[in-house]
Amino acid sequence: MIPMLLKIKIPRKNKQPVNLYLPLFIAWLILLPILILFLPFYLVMLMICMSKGFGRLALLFFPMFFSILWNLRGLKVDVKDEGHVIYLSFI
Amino acid sequence: MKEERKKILEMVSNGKISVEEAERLLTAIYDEVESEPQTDFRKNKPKYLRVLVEPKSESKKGERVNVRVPINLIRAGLKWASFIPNHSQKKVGDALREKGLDVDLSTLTPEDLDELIINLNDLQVEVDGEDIVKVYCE
Repeated sequence: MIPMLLKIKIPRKNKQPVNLYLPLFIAWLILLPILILFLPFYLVMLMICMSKGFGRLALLFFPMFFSILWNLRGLKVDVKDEGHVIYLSFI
Repeated sequence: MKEERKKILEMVSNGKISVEEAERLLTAIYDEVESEPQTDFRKNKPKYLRVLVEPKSESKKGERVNVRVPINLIRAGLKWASFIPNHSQKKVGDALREKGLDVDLSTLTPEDLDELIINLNDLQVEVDGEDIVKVYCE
């Protein structure tokens, strides 16, 4: 399923890091109409690409891009060093 | 399994079966037990690949890494590998070979990944005697 939230940690000096939840579902709601509007242009681009020989790449780009997006849920990166914190979690 | 073993031994002591038959039965039970974890593993397919890097001693300060990657994301990423241009694939292949890994990215398939997951039970590597790297599926 598509990730709905992105949790990130922002480190602070001598304090606990701040947990920030970014609502990705709002971004998807905004992106959806844009994608629908973009669809006719994509089809035109696809036909041009087919004639140029890049058809396979152009045809599979969107399904593969969305398969990556769909499977992002559950990805967690947590790296801690002295004074540095990198935390990303797709929920 | 303990109960089954006890029953077989009882049957031997009662003279219902011979020692050879008991041995055969016990071997069959052990074989069944040994093959169980693999079938369980196939049934409960792991969802995530986990990479942990921790300092060898708990008190020691050092870099800690905890990465959890969904297996399906790796599968989706593998499909992208076939779109890497040929000349770039050659460069990546050469770089990997230099590091001692003879892997051709264009020929990697989701089946190869499944095989890797099955064989990757719990890999633990010690780096320079300071950090411990654990790679496993969950």
